[in-house]
Amino acid sequence: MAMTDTAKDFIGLEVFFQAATAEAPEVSDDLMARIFGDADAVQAERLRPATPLPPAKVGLWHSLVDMLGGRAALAGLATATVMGAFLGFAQPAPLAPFAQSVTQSVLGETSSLGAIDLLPTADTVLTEG
Amino acid sequence: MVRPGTKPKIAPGANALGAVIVGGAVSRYGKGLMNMPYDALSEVSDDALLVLYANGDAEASRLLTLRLAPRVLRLAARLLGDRTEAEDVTQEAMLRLWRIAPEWRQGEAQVSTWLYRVTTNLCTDRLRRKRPLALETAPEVEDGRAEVVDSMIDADRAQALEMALATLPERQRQAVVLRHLEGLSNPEIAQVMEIGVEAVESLTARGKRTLASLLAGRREELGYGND
Repeated sequence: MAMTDTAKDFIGLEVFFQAATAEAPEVSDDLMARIFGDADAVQAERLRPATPLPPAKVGLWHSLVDMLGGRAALAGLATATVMGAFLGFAQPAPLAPFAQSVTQSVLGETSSLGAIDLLPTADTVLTEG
Repeated sequence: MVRPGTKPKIAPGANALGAVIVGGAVSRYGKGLMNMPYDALSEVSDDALLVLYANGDAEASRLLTLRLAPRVLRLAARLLGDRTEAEDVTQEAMLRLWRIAPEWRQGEAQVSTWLYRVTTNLCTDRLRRKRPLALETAPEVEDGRAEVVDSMIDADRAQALEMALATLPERQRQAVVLRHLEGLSNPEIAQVMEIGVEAVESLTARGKRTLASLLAGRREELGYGND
């Protein structure tokens, strides 16, 4: 059970409390100024606008990427390049008939690219006028 | 309950005046504290002033300081028994108040209670640095051992009490000072000390019993013989 106040125990104690209350210390001007200074400093720090970041340096690579349309455009370009090289070298089976038909439509019945004369002689050119 | 060092909540950037002034009197106070009539200032609560301060009103910090710093200083001086240290503690406690202002949750805790707790903890830290022995384990002053008080020659009544208080175990001293010198209720003290109300009553009673024992022989000498 908690101990509680009883009048018998504390007779006369109240007068000491009253005396101490009357003798309470007062805040000095110096302390008041220190507290005001802290308050102003904390407030100023909190309300200070954020410092803008310095502009980032732009390198050659970034300039090139920007010129091509940004990272997304660069990625698309790279993908198309790789795909084109793959088709040129490997030529998957489903593309063979399509490639054949394109070749024939352009070159006629010539079955081999080796048979095509890509540099006709000057005589032929002269003959045909 | 908001502990010292934790962050009370308040809506950041809230319209402080709208949030704090009760009764639709926003337009009355809408131009800041500087333009408020003097008698109206007393209507603004401590946590309302804290919100105003957080939102940039410098005058709010002046009012809060005038209200709270004397109470903090009194408590610190009585717990520490040293005016210079009490001033340092007061400045530190108020600084912590300024820092926590933007995150203060209105209505969750009283500013004064929070400040009392911070002050009490700061004083405890200082006392423990000075006296490594845990004060709670120090033996209580037994009845009849009034030599501490008897050794005083020209001490006045307040000094007699101060010296007697200094002999009490730390928690008893805190409870007695908060109850009988700062005028807090037992539930308020329980919040400050983070203990139950019954524990507060027990600490207060034990502290007062020791004080009564220490001061009994001094009453006549200090002019209280006929009280």
